[in-house]
Amino acid sequence: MSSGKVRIMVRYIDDVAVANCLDTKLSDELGIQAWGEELYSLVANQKGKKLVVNFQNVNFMSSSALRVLITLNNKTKMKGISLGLCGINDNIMEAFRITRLDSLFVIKRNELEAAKALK
Amino acid sequence: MSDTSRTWIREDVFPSVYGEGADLVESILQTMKERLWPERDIFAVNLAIVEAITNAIEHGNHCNAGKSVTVECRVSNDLVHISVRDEGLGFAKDKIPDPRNDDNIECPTGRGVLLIYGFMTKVWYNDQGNQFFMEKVRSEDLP
Repeated sequence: MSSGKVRIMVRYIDDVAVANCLDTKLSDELGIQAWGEELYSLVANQKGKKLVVNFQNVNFMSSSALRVLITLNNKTKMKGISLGLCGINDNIMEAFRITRLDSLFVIKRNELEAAKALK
Repeated sequence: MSDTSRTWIREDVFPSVYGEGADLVESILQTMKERLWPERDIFAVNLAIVEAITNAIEHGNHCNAGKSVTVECRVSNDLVHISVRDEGLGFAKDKIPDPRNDDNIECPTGRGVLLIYGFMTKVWYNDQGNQFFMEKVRSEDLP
């Protein structure tokens, strides 16, 4: 379901698509679904092979948002796209550590570092 | 502004619809802020209660709006106590696959309970498994 609200802003650094998350809280189910649909659509239409999702605006994220990121990771793998995450604050990073998702994703402090780390 | 010398208590009952309970969550977080709880503790309680309410709506009541979720909470200056009850048959934590295992790490679901245990000080549930209890003890303030 889409409310018409834009939830990511995409720009390109060379061959890397960078999706900036515009929401500060990723907690309500319908909003997370809409955010996920925007990311999935980006991957479906992506011509390049590198994608970075930037969370610098995000100060809260529930497990539903983690679910979207894992699904996104699975979709990018199927299309041969490398995925990186950046801008994750300390509290949210703790959620990645607790769930061991810090071992699944390439996570860097900022988008330049994330873009460099992608192969 | 509430009287911070007393324990703040609230109980809400709401239907199993996404978005319900958001007002209660905001009230708990606001009360913690008024009592100068550390920001990381406020984050922890926020995450735990969102996960518990989502689990109650989705897995307990199967998104049946005719079934209710009951949340009781108490916030003092050094302890937050929350219980979340649904009308489901209950669950057994031991039967939930561990999402940290290599075989499950790419499975999108099943992390809510793990996060509750990870972020809260103490977590337990009733014999039926349809009521979660959780507590957060105030962290030492960072210098």
